[in-house]
Amino acid sequence: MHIAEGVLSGPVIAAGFAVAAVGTGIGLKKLDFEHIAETGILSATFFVASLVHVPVGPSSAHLILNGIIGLLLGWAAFPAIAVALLLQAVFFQFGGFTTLGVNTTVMALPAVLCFYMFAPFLKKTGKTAAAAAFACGFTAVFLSALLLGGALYFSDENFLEVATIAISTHIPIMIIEGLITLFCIGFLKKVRPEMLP
Amino acid sequence: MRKHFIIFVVFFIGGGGFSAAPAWAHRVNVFAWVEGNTIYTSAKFSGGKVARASRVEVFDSQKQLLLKGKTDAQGNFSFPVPKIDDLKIVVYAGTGHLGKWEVKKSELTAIGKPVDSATAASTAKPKAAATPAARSAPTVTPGTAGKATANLNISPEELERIVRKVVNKSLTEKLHPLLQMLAEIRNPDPGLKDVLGGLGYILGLVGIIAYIRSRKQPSVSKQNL
Repeated sequence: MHIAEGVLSGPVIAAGFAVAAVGTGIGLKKLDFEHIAETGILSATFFVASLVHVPVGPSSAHLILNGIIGLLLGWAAFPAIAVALLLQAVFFQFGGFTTLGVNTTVMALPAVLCFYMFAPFLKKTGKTAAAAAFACGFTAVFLSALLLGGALYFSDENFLEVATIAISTHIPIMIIEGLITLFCIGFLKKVRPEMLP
Repeated sequence: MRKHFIIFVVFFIGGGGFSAAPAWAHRVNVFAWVEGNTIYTSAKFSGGKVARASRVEVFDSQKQLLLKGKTDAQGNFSFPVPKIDDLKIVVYAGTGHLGKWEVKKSELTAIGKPVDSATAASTAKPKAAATPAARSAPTVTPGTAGKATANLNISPEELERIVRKVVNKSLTEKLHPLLQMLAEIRNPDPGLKDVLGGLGYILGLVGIIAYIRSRKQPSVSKQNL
């Protein structure tokens, strides 16, 4: 899911930085004192999750966890993911510095969208909340793969081809992340319901 | 409640770390090494999965495209040295994955010279190639070399050329895995140090933001004490 240096065209890089900067700004502004530690923990989780590797087809995919991060953090997912991506670029050479904006947008924007789409359902009981949690983890990865295809399309690659590859290689990830989100939300609901939106 | 939560957090981060240990993901590593007149490249995703059917492009120092190709099912691609120059090998493995490797001009002039050309025999032979040559092929020692010429009617120059060619060939075969290993070492996968370093930075950032915010909201920080 990390786009490497030297793949994207100039306008895409600029647009990526613009969206990431606005998102991070809103996220930091909305981040209140009580949620700083939570944001840090989820940023650390994202940082490590990219190392959990699932071999799929000819490519390789890894956990993203942007669904649960978005669900728990809302707009603060932007700064959390931006920081983790910067550190991944420094320490792992995943992605790159020029592509940081685009990568942040690709992974954090679906997180925020899923927050608005699914957070209202979490207050419901039983199966509805569980289904929403699963759908959140699933949809966030799906949207990320779609955005990835879009970013590469505007940099001279075939959108349909790239998006199809990105989505098909991430199907197992979508299911796994759906289950992880389902499990985490179920656990938090019992143990620490105030953490949920 | 609090205890449960801490256990949850430890499980979440720790679990991620443990399951990550055996395999790393998401970067394309390109290795290239020179053997004789050929440059070999190998492309792998970090995690060990090979990047097959990926587009390979080779550029010179002026960023001119010299040749194009595709990796095979093992992620390998090889091509004859197109030009004695600093070469840049770029592998596009699809969906935004890209890996690069540079082959320096010096590497090409040192090992990549055509074995049977006149220049190879006279100058620019690295010491490393000359010493094992004497050891692995005892016939090259001055005395026996002279004898061989007498028996077979081959001039010493001709003999030297033949021996050099044979030695170079066997040396190339022996060095192949070693060169590949060296190439891989130059591009290490992320390790525990990188993970802990990154987590440390995040912890530090949380501290800094919490500190700044706590000065803005004295009431909240007092409450927390």
